Amino acid sequence: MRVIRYIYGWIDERFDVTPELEKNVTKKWVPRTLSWAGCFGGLAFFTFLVQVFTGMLLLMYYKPHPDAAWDSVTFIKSNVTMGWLVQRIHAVAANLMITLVLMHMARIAYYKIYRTPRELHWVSGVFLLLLTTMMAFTGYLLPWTQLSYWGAKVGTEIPSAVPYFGQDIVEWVRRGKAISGETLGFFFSLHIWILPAIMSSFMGLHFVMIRRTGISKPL
Amino acid sequence: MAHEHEHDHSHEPVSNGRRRFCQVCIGSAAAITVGTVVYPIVAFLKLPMRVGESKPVELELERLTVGQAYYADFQGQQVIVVMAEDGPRVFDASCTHLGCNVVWDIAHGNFHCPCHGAVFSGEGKVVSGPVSAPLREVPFEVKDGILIIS
Repeated sequence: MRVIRYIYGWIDERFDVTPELEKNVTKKWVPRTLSWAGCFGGLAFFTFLVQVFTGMLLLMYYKPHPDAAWDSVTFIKSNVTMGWLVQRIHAVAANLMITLVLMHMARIAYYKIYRTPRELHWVSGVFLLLLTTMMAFTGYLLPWTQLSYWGAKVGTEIPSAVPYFGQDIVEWVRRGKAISGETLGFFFSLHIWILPAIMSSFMGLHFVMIRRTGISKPL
Repeated sequence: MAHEHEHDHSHEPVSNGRRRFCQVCIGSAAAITVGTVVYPIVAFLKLPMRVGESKPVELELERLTVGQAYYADFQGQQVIVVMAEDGPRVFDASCTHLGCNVVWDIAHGNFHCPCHGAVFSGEGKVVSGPVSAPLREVPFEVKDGILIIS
């Protein structure tokens, strides 16, 4: 403890961390009237972090190729120590994240927190909901099981309802006429880089906004 | 921090025992929580079990020509089988200097390391170059005309 305090003191002397920490964390009080339901957004963010870290671990062994994907996931689940746990957490936390995002939105909608000055919080939140479901959808294909294959087939069929361009969108998303190795590669890059990067920027906006306007205080 | 707080209430008796008990309880709960997160991560980073890794190398002696060398993969390591007049010899292909794979020079009957120019004789002994140790010999057995490294 003394060592930690010494190191902290050394850094604090140079960067003046304490007043910032007090302002933003230790002395920043939650409104007395706020209920535990106010935690859903933060919990959704927490599950996002869980997904990032378990995803990093899974990425050590996962191979985004039709011949190797299923084997590599089986390898993680059976041969890697605690691999079954990490894989399961990644799959379960995905469901949990969608649930928490929806609970967060339900509360905001019920208490009409989206009203001025917080309209853009809601808009960015809707984008985050869409991005979350896209993360779940792209991740679902990656184990390359029967379920994920047909799930991706049905899911990518949806844009075909769009007039005129429907079929083009379907082919663009599938990277071809059918679900193939190209689809797997595309979904993989979306899942591990493109979507998380977009999501992080939207989250950044979302958090900066809530800092700026403050959390909605019930009466 | 704690001391300042105690000064504010210096007229009240302060029981440090209870505070200590709470600190220990919260501290252990935090340690257990951190442990349940850290343990699976550290365990995940361990080398995984590999199936079918220790396959033995089998070579038919009839197919080996005297003076030639054959490279084989044994447990992810390159080994060299050299057929000499008096029978086969098996070496670990890593140079004993910095671990590059040595090359069999069929004209001179010795091994050359491409990295720093070490030369080993056909028996694996040091001839020249920045090395002091001979090539590592790999144990093998011959059964019914088949050379087995296992």
